[in-house]
Amino acid sequence: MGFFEKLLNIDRRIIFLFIGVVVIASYFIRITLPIKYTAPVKDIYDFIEDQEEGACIMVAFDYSPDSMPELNPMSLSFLRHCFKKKLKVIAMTLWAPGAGLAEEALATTAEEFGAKPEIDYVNLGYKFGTVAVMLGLGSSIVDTFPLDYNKKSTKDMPIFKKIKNYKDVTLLMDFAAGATPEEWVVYAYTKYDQRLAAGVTAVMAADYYPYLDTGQLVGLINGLKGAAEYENLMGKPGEATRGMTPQSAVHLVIIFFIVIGNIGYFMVLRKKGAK
Amino acid sequence: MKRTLPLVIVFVLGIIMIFQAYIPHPVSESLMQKANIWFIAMMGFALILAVGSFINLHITKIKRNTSDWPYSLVALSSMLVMASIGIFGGIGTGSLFMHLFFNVQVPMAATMFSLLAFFMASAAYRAFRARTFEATLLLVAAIIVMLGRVPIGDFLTAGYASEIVEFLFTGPNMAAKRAILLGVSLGAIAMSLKIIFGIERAWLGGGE
Repeated sequence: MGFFEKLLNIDRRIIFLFIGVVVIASYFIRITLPIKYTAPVKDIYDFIEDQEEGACIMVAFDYSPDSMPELNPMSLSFLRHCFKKKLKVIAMTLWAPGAGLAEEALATTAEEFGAKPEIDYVNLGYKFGTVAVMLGLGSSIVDTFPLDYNKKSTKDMPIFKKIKNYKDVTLLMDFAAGATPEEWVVYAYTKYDQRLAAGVTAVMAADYYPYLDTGQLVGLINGLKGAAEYENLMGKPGEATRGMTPQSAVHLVIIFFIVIGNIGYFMVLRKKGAK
Repeated sequence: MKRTLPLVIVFVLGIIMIFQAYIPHPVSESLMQKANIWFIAMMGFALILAVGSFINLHITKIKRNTSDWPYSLVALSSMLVMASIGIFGGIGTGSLFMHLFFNVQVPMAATMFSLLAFFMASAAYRAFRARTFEATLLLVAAIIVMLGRVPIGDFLTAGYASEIVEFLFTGPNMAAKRAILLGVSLGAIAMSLKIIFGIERAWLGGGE
């Protein structure tokens, strides 16, 4: 087998080895590159920035641990922004594993800003029945979630004295690893005019651009890069910003392999043509 | 009767709920609230059905001694252990359930997902070959998107990569996505009407 045939058929284990070495090495060799923010991320940041103290933000943690590395940094950054602006946060999820992730994210960020549970924020936890829950929140949040994540009655919580349903919620932010943003658009935006925004994994982001264009989504945080953009807009680089170095390195490695694969392909083709 | 009654229920409720969506009257809104409560209650039964189906599937695999029966045993015992701990010990912050969730499920799920990076790299190397004009377009778009979604891409292209990516997302991608969305939505409306009017009856299941 000639050199170019070899380029065309590189053993997948060699590619795996390259990826592994590059990811590990890039954690030790830190290169800080400027992160350019995109308009959909800036739109969410500006929206929160324009809110007055006490405005209510509902946050849906519709993801599970497998997409946590990508979505958790953006949810933490977003929650920090909300608590910094002294906004009320109501967290909930339509994905069962999201309830624990929401609890952890709220506990971490609320403590940093002195936000108090049941007064400044609440975790309503998980409720089965996606569409019914979305519609139910438009009628009454307390009736849809009579108990919070820690099994406390929501009826008497101070946070719900003024917040009854979507009418009192300024923005619903959905951190999603699935198709829930589309469902929120159909059932919360269309029926109740609820303003929405979403934070999604990079592979899903392309699906949500039509909703940005129509204004059905205020903004969109797109994958780990979007999370890094939000962190930098907040002036507090964190996990997502740190993740940009390995992600940059891996993307370059993949491009490198695609390029040499194509060089091999064309050279082999040329050889065959010459024969 | 076994088939007629469900068809009548679906027709009557389907028609009522279609009209309800266009009538902004308190009676109509109240009807929807009640329908929601019913819906949530019915979903609870669906959950029982799902758990039953999960248990049944894995018990059958163990009984039949299929080649991967030990995985079924792990799946069943994991479900029983986590459910018991959650039901009897609670799921609040600091509970055993949460310790297991963060120290077992989270790392395992993250590991599974991170393996994708390796397989995607290998698949990209094999799939992105400029064999035809369409394949070349896909290949070029993929490289631009990969560059535009990391800071080093902007560094290498003086900021053009992310701008081209935004154009690809807001231009060609959005046009194609809208066309798909419209097609899917029209299909969903047509299918819903067929179910409401009893033309599509596959949901009734087989037999008389």
